[in-house]
Formats: sequence, C-alpha cells, structure tokens
Amino acid sequence: MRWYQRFFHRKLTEKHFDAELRFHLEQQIADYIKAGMKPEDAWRRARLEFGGLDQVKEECRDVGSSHIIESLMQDLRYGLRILKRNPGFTIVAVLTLALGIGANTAIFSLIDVVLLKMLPVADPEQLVVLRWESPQAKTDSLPYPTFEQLRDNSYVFDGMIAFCNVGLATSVDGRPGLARGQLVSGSYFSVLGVPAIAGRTLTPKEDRVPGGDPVAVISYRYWKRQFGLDPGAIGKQVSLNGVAFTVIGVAAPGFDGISLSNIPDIWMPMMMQAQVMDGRSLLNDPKGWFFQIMARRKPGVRLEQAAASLNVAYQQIARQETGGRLTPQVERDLASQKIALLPASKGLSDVRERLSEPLLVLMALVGLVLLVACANVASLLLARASARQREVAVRAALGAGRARLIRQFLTETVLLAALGSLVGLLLAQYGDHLLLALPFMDGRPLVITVRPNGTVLVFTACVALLAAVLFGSAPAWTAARTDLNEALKASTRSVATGNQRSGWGRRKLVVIGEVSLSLLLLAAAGVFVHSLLKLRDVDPGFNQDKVLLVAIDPTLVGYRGDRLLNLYKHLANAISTLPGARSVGLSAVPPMSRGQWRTGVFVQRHVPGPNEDTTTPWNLIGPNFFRTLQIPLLQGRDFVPQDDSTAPRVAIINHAMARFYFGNDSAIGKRLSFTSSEGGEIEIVGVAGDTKYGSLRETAPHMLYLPYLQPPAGSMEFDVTVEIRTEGSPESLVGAVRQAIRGAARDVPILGFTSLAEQVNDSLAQERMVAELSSLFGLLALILASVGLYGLMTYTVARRTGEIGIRMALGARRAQILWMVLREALELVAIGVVIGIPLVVVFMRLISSQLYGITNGDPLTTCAAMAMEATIAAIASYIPAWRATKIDPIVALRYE
Amino acid sequence: MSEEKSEFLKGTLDMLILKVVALGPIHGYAVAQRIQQISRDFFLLQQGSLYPALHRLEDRGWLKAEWKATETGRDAKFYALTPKGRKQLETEVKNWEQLIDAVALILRTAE
Repeated sequence: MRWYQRFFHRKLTEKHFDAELRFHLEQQIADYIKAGMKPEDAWRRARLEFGGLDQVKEECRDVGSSHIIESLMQDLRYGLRILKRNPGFTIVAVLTLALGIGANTAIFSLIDVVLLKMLPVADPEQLVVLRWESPQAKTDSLPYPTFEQLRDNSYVFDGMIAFCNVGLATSVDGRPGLARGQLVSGSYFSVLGVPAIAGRTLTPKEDRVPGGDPVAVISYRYWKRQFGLDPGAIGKQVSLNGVAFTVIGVAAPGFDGISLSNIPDIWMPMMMQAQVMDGRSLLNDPKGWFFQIMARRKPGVRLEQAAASLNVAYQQIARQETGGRLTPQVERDLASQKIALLPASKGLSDVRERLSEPLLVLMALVGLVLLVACANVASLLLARASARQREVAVRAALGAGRARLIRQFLTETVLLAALGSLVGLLLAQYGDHLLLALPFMDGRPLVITVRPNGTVLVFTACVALLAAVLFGSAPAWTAARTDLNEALKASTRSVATGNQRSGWGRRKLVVIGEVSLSLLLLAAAGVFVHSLLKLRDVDPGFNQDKVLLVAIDPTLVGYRGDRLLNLYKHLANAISTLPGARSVGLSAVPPMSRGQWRTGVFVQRHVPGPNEDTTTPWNLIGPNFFRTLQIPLLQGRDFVPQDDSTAPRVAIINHAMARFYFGNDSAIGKRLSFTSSEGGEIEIVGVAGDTKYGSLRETAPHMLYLPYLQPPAGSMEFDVTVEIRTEGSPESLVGAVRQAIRGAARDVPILGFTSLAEQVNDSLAQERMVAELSSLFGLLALILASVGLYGLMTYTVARRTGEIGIRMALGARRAQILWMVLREALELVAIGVVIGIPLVVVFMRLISSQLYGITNGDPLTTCAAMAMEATIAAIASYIPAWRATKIDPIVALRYE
Repeated sequence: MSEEKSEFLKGTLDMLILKVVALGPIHGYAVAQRIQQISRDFFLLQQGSLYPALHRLEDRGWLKAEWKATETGRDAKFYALTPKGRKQLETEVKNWEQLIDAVALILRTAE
C-alpha cells in the first residue's frame, strides 16, 4: 500500500497491524504448546518475549515517508482532543492569544494601507513626484506652463501628468451635494495605467481646447455612493460648480487617486480649470504655482539620471522665461533652483508622513502586548506541562521518542496559535472598524478601506507562528525532559515535586518578564497621556471657549470679486445682529487648522540671510477677528470696515514677526510687500498677540493679517470661516446662524459647523489616538500580567499546602502566612520592576520626538506606573494569599 | 543462546529477511522461525526488530504484502519479494560476499 493509501486507510492499517502482531503471538503460543508447555505458561512466555506491543507498533509507524503527514494528523487529532478536554484552559489561552494577535493585526492593517501599500496602478515603482526647490522654499506645486514645457522637453519619462484638487458643489438629478474633484491633464489615466470599469477615461484629446470638453470620470466609490452602481450613470449630465458635465466613465475600483489625504470623487480635464474654479485661467500663468506633477520614469532610467536630465530641461525653460534679462542676480537665483524627484510608488501623502511615526510606535507597543500574552499562555502551558507529566511519562514508556513528544507539544501550541489567530482576525476586523471611526487627523477619520488582504494574512500567520514558538518551546522542552522514572514514581502524588520545580522556576521567570513588559507599556501609556495633558494646557493665544465656527464657500456657486466680498460683509452683519452673538469675526483660514496659507514677503529695509525662509503664514480676516477670538492687540489699531479696496492697504502682524523683523523698534508704520507678481506696498498698522496656527505643538509662528476687503491679486476668491463668540453654548446658536445665512444667500454651501474648542481638540486627534490606544494596550498588558501572577501564586499555594499546614500546626499566625505568600509575589514584582525601569528609560528616549513638554524621561509617570503595577499585583496575589490562610492544617497534612 | 549471539550485524537483517522471503510468500512469524532454524538458533529474531524491518522493506517497495489464509485457515499477512526486491537482494548478497572476502583476506594476511 502506498503511503497516501495508508494515510486514507489509517484505521484499516491500524487494524492490520494488530492482526499481524496478534497472529504472531498466537503462532508462538501454539508452538510452545506443541513443544509441551502448559497453555498458561506458553501464553506468559510468549507475551514476555513479545515485549511492548505498542512500541513495536510505534516503530512500524515510524517506517517510511507516510510517517510525517500521518503522525502529524495524529498529533493534530490528539491535540484537538486535549484542547477539547480542557475547555477552560483552551478558552483562556485562545482569548489571550486572540487579543494579542488581533491587536497586532489591526494596527498592522493600518500600517499596510497607510505606509506599505503601493498605488493600485501599473508599475507604481516607476512613478515620481516633482518638487521645486530653492534655498528659500520648496513646493510640490508648479505653474502649468512649466509642466507643459517639462512634459514636452524631457526624454527620460514615459509620461508626465499634472493635477490639482478642487472642491465641487454638485447637482445630480436636481439634488445638490458636495464632492471632491480633481482636475487632471489628459494622460492622467493612461500614464498611471488605470483603466475604466465602465465607459472610458480621459485622453490627451481633452488637453487641447480650454473649456472645450466638459466631461467627467467618476470614482468607483462615488459611482456606488451617488448612483448605486447604475450603468445609466454613464452619459448622464451633472452640474459641477454650476457647469454642466457629462459623465463618460468610472475608474477601476480600488483606485482612490494618488493621495490618502485627498480622495477624489470626480476627475475632470485640466482644460476645464477656469470654468470649474473661478473664471480665471491659471493654465497660462507662469506664476500660478498651483499644479502637482507626477511622472513615470522610463524602465531602466535611474532616479538620479532622470533628475539630472529633467533639471537640464528646467534650466533652459526658466532662462527662456526671463526673456533674456539675465542679470548676475537672476543667474545666481536660477542656478540655486532645482527640481527634485521623489519616489511616488505609494502615492503622495502627508498622511503617510504624519502618521508613520505614531503608527510605528503603536506597532511596537502592540508587539509588546503580544509578548505579554505569549508569556501568559506559556505560563499556563508550563503549569499544564507539570500536570501532564504522568501522561507524558506513560507515552514515553509506551515508546514515544523524545522528538515525537516535543512535536506533539509543538503541534498543540501551533493549534492554539491558529485558533487564537482566527479569533484574532475577527477581533482585528472589528478593531479596524473602531480605529477608522476614530478622528485620526484634524478631527476627520481616514477615508481608507482596510480589508484583510494577502499581506495582512501573511503577517498574522507569521505573528501566530512566532507566538507559538515563543510560548510553546519552553513547555515542550520541559515536558520532553521529563525523567520517566521520577515522573511515574511521583505520579501517585498530585503535588508536584522533583523536576517539576524547573517548570515552576520558568514560570517565575515568565511572570517577572510579564511584569517588566507591562510596566513598560503602562509607563508608555502614562507618558503619552501626560504629553497630551500638557498639550491641552498650552495657551493657544486665543480664548477657545464659547466660539462657534461656521465654514461657508460661496465661490463654489459662482460668487466672485466684489459680489463675494459684499456677501461676506452682509453675512457678518446679519449674524452679528443675532441675539446671543456677542461678537462676529471672519477669516479665510480658520484658527487651528492644517490648511495653512504661506506667502513670500519683502519687509522694508530687511535683507534676508542666505538660507532664510522668506515666506510667512498669513490670513485674511474681518474687523472683529481679534475681539472675537480675544487675541490681544499689543500696538496700533485693529482693522475697521473702512479698510477696503479703496483705502490704503494695511496689515497687522503678530508679536513674533514684529520682533523678528524690527527687534525692539516699533513695527507700526513700517512697510512690506508680497514677493509674488503684484507689488503694492502694505503699511503695518498694528501688532497682535502670538497665536498657534496649525498645531499646539509648534512655537507660535510669524503671522501676517490682511483685511479681507483688501485681498491681494491671486487670492481674490477665498472661502471663509465665520467665528462667533456666543453668550451661551456655541451649539445653541447653530440654528439661528444657519437661518441667517440662508436668509442672506439661499444657495451658499455651508461646509460645516464646529466650535473652536472642538477645533483645537481635533488638532490633537493624533496625539489623543496614540494616548488612548497606548492606554488600552497598557491596561491589557496589566490585566494579562496580573492574571499570570494570580495563576502562579494560586499554584504556589497549592504546592505549599503541606508546608503551610505544618507551619500553622506549629503556631504560625494567619498574618504571617498571608505575608509569606504576598512577599513571594511582591519579590517577583520587584524584580520585574527593576528590570523594567531601564526598558522604560530607553523607550522614553526613543519616543521623545513624539512627546510634548516632557523631558528627562518623565520620572513622575514612571513612578505612577510602578505604583499601579505594584497595587494591581498586590491585589492579584492577595486572593491566593488569603486562601492560604484558610488552609486547615489537619486537612493539609492529610492531603500530603 | 547468549545475548550477543543473537545480535545482527548492522545491515544484515534486511538481507536475511529478503533472502528468506525470496524462497516464497511467507508470514512474519515464519520469517522469524525460518531464520532461527536455518541459523541453528544463532539468530533469535525479536518482533521488535522483525516487524519494523518488514514494514520498512515493504515501504521501500522491495516486499509486497498480501493477506492470505494459512494452512490452518487463519488469515495472515504474507510477504513476497518484488522484482525490485530481488535486485536489491542480489546487490546486498554481492556486497556481503565482497565484504567477507575482504575481511577474510585481512585476517589471513595479517597472521
């Protein structure tokens, strides 16, 4: 019979073995009887000679190739039987592992999407992003004419594409809505290699006539959301920012654009830019630094080669643009400019840059949780290995080899790990669901899909296997080293002695390790929470209480120029008359948001240093902005309604900027101008207090405020956030404000309401996420460690029942017994803590860049973590200790 | 019949079994009996070595097995030589003879 046949006919084979051996035995007996023995003697002799029946069978089974798979199946069956027989143990072990593995898988799935996943496009590793760099500034956005010339004059690329994002007010079948749009050059889809799943994508044909091709490709997501995957969507007319577009196709599912932070719903030809945006074309503007550029390297062209070739082309283009006015200064400027190529295989994403470090920290923490979980299961298994010594001894006596025994144990642990990872995968699914609902950044959840995919499954399998090795090898080894004679002799007593002590010693080590790791995790959680608390205490420079924010964007529905400014003036007035509104300001950039404006400025009589960043954050604000946010005005005057387009241009700068440019001189009356094309001088009329702009972590940046009625050319069309300081809670005014806006302009899209306090809070979303998750992990580790300690102490008390009985019989008081057990536990905890402290110190150093306002490793938090660890450990070991005092000496002595 | 007498030289057990089986289909017990008889009780074959060896030879395809009735009407597993087994036996016998010759040569010459 071949091995596979034998494999399938296992039962039959076993029976044949038996029959064959029985036949042998019977023949022998028959021969002995024939030789004149009495039947009983013959039987006994034959039996004696025959030796261990099972051993012969075992050795026969060991024969040949059939052995491996067959005995593996046998091990598996045996393992399952064992697990089924101990449901309590199995459930605890599987759940512990599932928590560890599930948490790891959940975090890893995020890392997979955010950090590892390649763009779902053809050959993503060939893609690069262009970044313009000069000593003063760098930007990923370039003018469209530059793009066209680079595209047409470089030979190292298989294609180059430009794109820019635009918010869309949509009207589909007469229903209004909002969507994220992206204007793209014609070869966008063909260069990326993204096909259409229905209809067609855009082509270079649509690159020719400005305004000529009002067609749109929608994303699969949007197709599903807006049209319910109806094929009838193709060919439909939709209104985008008031322009009629025809839907021509749906992009392949899974393609979410090339940036995690901006996932477009609708792609439109770049030639429609003027129509979709504001009536002014940026496509011919050499100063319209507005378009991101991506290129596909030709196969075999290295990044440096491509960059070198591209820069030669760029220098020529830039020289032509100066129109021959090449002064030495211009020459020097040009020579210092270059275009860098960044690999873009994973797409563009500031999400990636901002989340990578926190995610990696979380991954490390969650890995430690898994270690603690493994330690716990190892401890359980060690305890069980002691209990199973008799079984092991019997199997060894029956002829199972040591390797075979180890394998049996490993099979069981792998089985546990497999069960644990199955449950863990389910937990991870749920966990990712929760994680993605968390406001990740700026108060918005990430718009990403996390599905268990190949990478994640492989990761989980590896983690499970690693876990199995971690928690399974020590018990297996202990079990396999069982001394047969010792074990069989000892087996009549239920209390472990002899070499079982070695298992006991290992369990102690395991618990010490758990204590150290959980201390580390607790301290990590503590320090992240501490850092978050410190950030919350940071004074942002404005008063965040009782301020309602409402974002509106009239530019989406066609408000332009004076009509736009008048609308803003009108709205601010209308809202300020509302009862309950104490003061109303407005600004183009809302306080504490990520979307920053920066511009280059020349300040009168200031000569920039060679590497000085001449750009400064700036904002357009209404007259009551400072009063509403309660930002102090330190010098000069506030803006007034009369600071409009007919009045001289004025500016207010903040304290930091004033100090930087004017030192101790007064800034009032000084002048500055924008470095961009429009050149008018602006007079500084006031100095305001410093405020945080993008995040609470930063030191207050320079800030340049201009009156919103004097927007510089190039920033004429802007949306605003209206800030309203309210009498009562900000929420109470939402309805009234909505009505006021609707009353003033029925068609203006309201992008959203929030309160300033919430906005500030949202800016801490990332820190909060790390603090919350690390707290969760710390708690998990603490619980696991205390369960481990509890199990160990319970076992200790059982082991020492006899001894405790004797002590009590000799007159030991209960308090002494209690202390004896507690002391043993606390010694372990103390050792664990001592080992843990250096780990904490190293960890704090590693993550110091993630922390705010915490130096020198935060001894306070470390102490708090130690206290918590000790308290919980004391509670966990108090129960067994208390039980020890309840031991009845008489029963105990008999027990032994 | 002392302990050491019954020990098989390493590698010879398989050959002896093959040789015995080569005489015609035979069950395990008879193999042991036959070896014991032919060697005039020099080799005492224990089940602990016999059956693993039989199964090993079967697994390698040198023996094939069949359940058949014995002369007493009991079912027993009969082993028979396969062509592959016959070839193997020839090789082993040749090797063995060479070995014997070589050992004998050394013993003689060294005197």
